[in-house]
Amino acid sequence: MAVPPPLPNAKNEKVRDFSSVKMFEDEIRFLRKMSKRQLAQQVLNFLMIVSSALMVWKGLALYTNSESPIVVVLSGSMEPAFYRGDLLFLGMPDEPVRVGDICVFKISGRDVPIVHRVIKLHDERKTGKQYILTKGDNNQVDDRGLYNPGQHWIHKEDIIGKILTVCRNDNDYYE
Amino acid sequence: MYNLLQRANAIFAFAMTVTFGVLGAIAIVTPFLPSSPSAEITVKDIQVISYDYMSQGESEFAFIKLNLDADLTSLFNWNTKQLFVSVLAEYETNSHDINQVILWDSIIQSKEEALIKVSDLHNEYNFVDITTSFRQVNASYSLYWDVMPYVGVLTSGQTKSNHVIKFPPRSNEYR
Repeated sequence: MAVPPPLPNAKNEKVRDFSSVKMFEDEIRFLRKMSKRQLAQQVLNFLMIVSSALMVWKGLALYTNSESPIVVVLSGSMEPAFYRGDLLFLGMPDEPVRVGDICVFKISGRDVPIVHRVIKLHDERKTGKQYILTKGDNNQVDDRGLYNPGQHWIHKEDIIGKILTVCRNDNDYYE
Repeated sequence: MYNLLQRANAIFAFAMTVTFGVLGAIAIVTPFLPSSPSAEITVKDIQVISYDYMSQGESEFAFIKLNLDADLTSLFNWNTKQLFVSVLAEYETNSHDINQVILWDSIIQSKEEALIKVSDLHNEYNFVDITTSFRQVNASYSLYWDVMPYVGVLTSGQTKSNHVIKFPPRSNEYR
């Protein structure tokens, strides 16, 4: 981006003018030269790039059957397996959850997902409903303190996905 | 013709490609590495005592004492970061066909620690059923492990449990 030359003021000193119109002078001139069709094409190009990125993300969400296939670890409750800042790749297979799986789940009414391990599981025979209790490896107590008051179990609907693999963020490794 | 920056860029891009190729190859090869883990669990003692438990009212708590003898050293290859090991109790009741409860867990970070010999292993977590009573069903106890590799997909395994034991009737106090 070309910087406009310093303007001489009344005292004949060279001063830089930072008004935005002058700063984008070159670009605005370029845009004015284009016809309406070319302008529309540029806008369309830009939208194509943005929507391709969105399609890749949503396609990945569909393929892994999980609403958010890549998440970041926010707390140290699963150390030494995952540290804060690691990326987790999730998938949600059709089989029921098993004890020992590391799951990412959301407590209803809260936005922040949590990644912990399933330590207890009870499946109802008639309905197939799963009653799940989770706990972080690095925590001393199970997650009942985190669930909503009065809630003792979570269910399959609360789970966003199971961990498939981790991408370590080595910046924190040396802390 | 090519300045330093262009050469550095080309080298870096190639290095990244090679690195990801190598990591991908490691991830693909890892599940095929041979391993022969073995574990034996013998239940020494079970007591079932009834206490008040949260909103469930009077619930039966099982207190278990086990002997655990396991050799998981073969699961430690050059791509293993750590093992998550847990003792798992599985049983069936009339109303719930799958019940899986983790009684004890441990994180193993080196090959030397993978030779586990614990006598008098007590259950670390409360062993309570969701229906508040065990009703003397049979439960099988097995060892479950999660292998966390440096590069690749998380895998898990479990011993075949041939040790099936019934819950005793409720007793009045803890021996």
